[in-house]
Order: sequence, then C-alpha cells, then structure tokens
Amino acid sequence: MGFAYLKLELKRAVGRLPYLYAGAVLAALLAVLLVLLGSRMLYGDTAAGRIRVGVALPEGDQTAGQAVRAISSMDSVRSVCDFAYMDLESGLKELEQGTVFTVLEVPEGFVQDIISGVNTPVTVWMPRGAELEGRLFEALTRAGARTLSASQAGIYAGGELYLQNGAGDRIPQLEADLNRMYLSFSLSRLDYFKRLTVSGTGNLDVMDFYRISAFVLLLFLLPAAAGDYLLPCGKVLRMKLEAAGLKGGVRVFSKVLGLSFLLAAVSLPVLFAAAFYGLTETPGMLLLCGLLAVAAVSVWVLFCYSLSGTLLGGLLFLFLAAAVQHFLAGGFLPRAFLPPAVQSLGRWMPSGILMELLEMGMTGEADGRAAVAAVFLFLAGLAACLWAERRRA
Amino acid sequence: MLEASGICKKYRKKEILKDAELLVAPGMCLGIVGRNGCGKTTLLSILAGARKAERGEIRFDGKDAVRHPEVFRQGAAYVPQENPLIEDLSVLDNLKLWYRGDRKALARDLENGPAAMLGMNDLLRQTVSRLSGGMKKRLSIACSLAEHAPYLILDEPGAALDMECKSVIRSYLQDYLRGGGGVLLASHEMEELSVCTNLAVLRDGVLHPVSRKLSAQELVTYF
Repeated sequence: MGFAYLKLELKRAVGRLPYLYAGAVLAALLAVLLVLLGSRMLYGDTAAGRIRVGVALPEGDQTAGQAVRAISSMDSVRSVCDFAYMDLESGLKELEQGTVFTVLEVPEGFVQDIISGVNTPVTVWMPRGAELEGRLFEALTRAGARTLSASQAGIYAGGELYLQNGAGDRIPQLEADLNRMYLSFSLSRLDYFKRLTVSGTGNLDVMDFYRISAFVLLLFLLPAAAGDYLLPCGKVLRMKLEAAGLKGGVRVFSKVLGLSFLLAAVSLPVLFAAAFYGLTETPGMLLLCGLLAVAAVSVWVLFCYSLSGTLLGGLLFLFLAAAVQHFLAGGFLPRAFLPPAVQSLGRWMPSGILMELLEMGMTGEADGRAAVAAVFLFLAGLAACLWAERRRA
Repeated sequence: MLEASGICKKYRKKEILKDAELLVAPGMCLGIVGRNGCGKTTLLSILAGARKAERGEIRFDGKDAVRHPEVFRQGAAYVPQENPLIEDLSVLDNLKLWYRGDRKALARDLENGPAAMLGMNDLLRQTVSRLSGGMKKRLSIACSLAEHAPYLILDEPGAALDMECKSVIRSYLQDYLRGGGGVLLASHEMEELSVCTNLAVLRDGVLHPVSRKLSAQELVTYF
C-alpha cells in the first residue's frame, strides 16, 4: 500500500505544477527587483554613473602631470572618476559629444604657482545642465584642493621654522625638497601596501551572491502556490490509513518526495540555464547541490504546514519564517554587514547553509562542510516533520 | 463472528467506554444508538482498529486483533462518518489506493463486486471533489470493501444524504447481509435502523441491548 500511496502523492504533486510555474514567474520578477535593489544598496556606484574626466596638461610639464596623477589616485576620486589625458581641443570635442563629463585645463607652471603662492587656478569645463554630477565633481575637487592646501601649509610651516631659527636663506631648498618628497610619496604610497580585495559577498561577486540568495528564497516561498497539497491529510483519512498499515513515516516521506519533485521541476531548468550561460564551471556539482537544497527546503516547508495545520496558517508561518531566517542568514544584506551576534546566528539558518552549499556548487570549491551541513539540515527537517505528524495523531 | 469484550477508553480523565462488549454474527446487523457524545464513534473506530482502547479484547472469527493489528484490516471494512477520500484525485485513484494497487482485484470488483453494485463504474474518471455527498459515501463504502472484509462497520452512513442515496445504501446493506456479512451500524435515523436485526443503546460507556421493535420515542427513554 505504501507504494500505491506514494504514486498517488506524486500524481497529486504533478497536478500542482502549473501553479508552481505561475508562482515562479511572479517570484522571478520579485527576485530580479531584489537583486537590483540589493546590489545598489551595497555598491551604489550607479547613482550617477562613473565620471569620465578629460585632463589637458601643459605640454612638457612633467611636474603638473605628477600632481594631477597624485590627485586622481586618491581613493575618494578613483572610486568615482576615470581620468583621461588629452589635449584641450580633443577634450572640448569629447565634452560636446558627451564622452567626457568635464575637462580640466591645467595651466602652465601649475605646481610652481602653488609653491610660490600664485595659485593659478585650473579651468574646469563642464556641459550645461550637469547638476548632480556637477555637485559631485565640485565635492571631489574641493577634497583634492584640501589635500594640496594641507601639503602647502606643511611647506609654509617648515619655512616659518627655518626663519625662526635663522636659516631663512635655506627656505627655497626646503620648499623644493618637500614638494619633491611629497609628490614622490603621494604617488608611490600604494607600493607600501599589499592589495587585498575584501568583499561583503565572500568569494562570489555581488551578482552571483544575489542570484543564489534569490534562488534559495524562491525555493522557500514557491511551494505556497501549491498550498493545499502541503496540508497534512485529514484526521479521518489518517486514521484509516494508519489502520490499513500506512504509518506516518511513509506519509511524510511520500509528501517530501512529491514536494521535492515539484521544486526540482521548477529549479532544474534554472540550474541548467546557469550552467548553459557559464555561471559555473562545475555544472554537475551545481546540479547535485541544487537537488540537495531542494530536498532540504521541502522538509522545512512541509514542517511549517504540518505544524500550523491550516492553509492560511501555513502560508503565514512559511512566509514569516522564510523571510526572518533569510534575513538572519545574510540573504538580503550580506552577513558581513550585520551585527556580530546576528552573524554567528545566521550561519545556522537554513538559508545560510543552503547559500553556502550553492556557492560550493557554483565555484566548485569543494568544502565538504557545506554538503554535510545541508544533509543534517534535511535530516533535522525530516525529524521535525515526523514529530509534527505524530503530534497531530 | 466479531467479538468485543472489556473495551475501555478514556479521554483525559473522562471515561467514555467502560467494559463495552458486543457480538456480531454473520448475517447480523447490530445497530448502536445513543446520545450525541456518548461514545458511538469512539467504539466503532476502536472496533475497526483506527483507535486504540485502554484495554479490551477484539476478535474477528476467533483471531485476536489487538495483538495482531493486521486482523483489523482483514476483518473489518470501516466507513467513518466523514469520508476518508483524497478529494483532488479521481474515483479510480481513490479505489486504487485501497485496493493497494491490485488492478486485477479492482477490475473484478468493478465488474460484479461491491464497487459495481455501488455504481462506481460511471464515475471512475471524475474528481472526488466534484461528487455529491451521496456519491462520496458510496465511494467510501466501495473503498472500505476493497479487501472484502466480512464485517462492515458504518458510522452514520446516511448523515446529510438525500432519500434516494439512503435508499441505495440500505439496499446494499441488505444485500451484504444476505451474502453472509456482518454489519455494525451507528445511527440516529429510524429508517436506517430498520435494516438492523439487533439494537443496543450505548449509555454510560456500556452497551445495553434493546428490542428493535421500539419506536423512536420509546428508544429515547433508554438514552
């Protein structure tokens, strides 16, 4: 009888496929929105677009070039602007065409005028109507100017000290030495540091991270489209099935298999597409990890409905539980940005375990711990379902 | 023979059944009546093996069912008051479940067995949720008789059914009795109880035999 019951549960599951596909389409739209908003929130460098700046340097003036490069290498400037060196005529042409946002015309003797205190200004050419970008650029140039004025103040302080100590004749040499040292140190300071990229999304880039996050969240929420299938069987039917020898374990297992089939039918095309579009170099591992994720999600979704016992209760419980644990696991905002206490809790959440599992599938970096954790997650969920079924009896 | 003795059942501290005992022989239809909540459904579900009693003995043709639960399955065909059907599947699928996937046995019964007599042939492809209450009850009975158990246990089979359906079920029960089967029936309706060869009132957890010739008013005085 167990096999007959299993076949019928699978048949019931197949009948729910259209609802799940319809739910998947709606959920995919929601997921795309989530991904876009999430990546903007983290790395919102697209608020105004990167600013391409044309720089027209005086011919043959190496010192001016060094000074401009020093400014362009500052982190605050480099994160937003790209400097392109060209002559003034080309720069103004590109400005008209819109390929550069602004052109900086650096005057002859730029650095010397700073040293001597003449401070001949740099001419900034901008197009009409560039309000947001204009304000941004103004803020950046002020930051650059403050850096230069700080170094200038340092040089003046050195000169003042020499005067007080009766070495006023050595001030020109002091200014020349300090300017040279300042420029050389400011340009090469990066050589004193190792390059280490730290990302809030770990080994994955932001897009891949949110693809996995959305996939896991979808797995949890999609079954709601087939809600009536997830409800445990009625009291009278259950009693008769028990009397006929069909125990709770068989019923639970059959339902887990049915729901896993449903989720696999929706998620496998997505995983195949990921492999087809080259999002992973280990498609086989991704598929296996995906199937394990599907099984783990199935048991926990069934647990939500078994525990609540009603359609609406199950839906609310599933939605709330899925959203909360997904947040704690760092699915909406990566764990690195969450408080430490939440971070340590989040790695035990089902979404956290499954996201690590799928990361393993995507990157091919086989860390057995992720798979072992997922297996334990599945077994724990199965035990929870059996407990809920026994409780109903 | 279906024999039950010393059946006791408590719900929390309330004793529902106290040493209930009964006997149903082949060809006999025992009707059980009583107030709402007196324990009729509990007694029937215990005799069908769907619930466990605190203590007591139940035997089907001499075989101990309490210690060997498979005897319940072979001995009793239980039709609860609510239909134990999978609503989103077809009539045929529900029958397949209770016939344990035995297609030959199902085909035989659809030809000239209980399923045929209850009119299942015309409904095989229909989804259960679209059936009327009477049809669902007939399907429940057909499903319960999949194993051709010799004893049919029915809990208010005519509840919420129209007169025609009740008449069909009564005819079927009479045929079943003529075929040598035993029937245990709980009901509140005199017309349904007219099929019974014996009557008993369940009062204070114990079955009290009464005459089947009593009127409704007289019967109520025994409650």
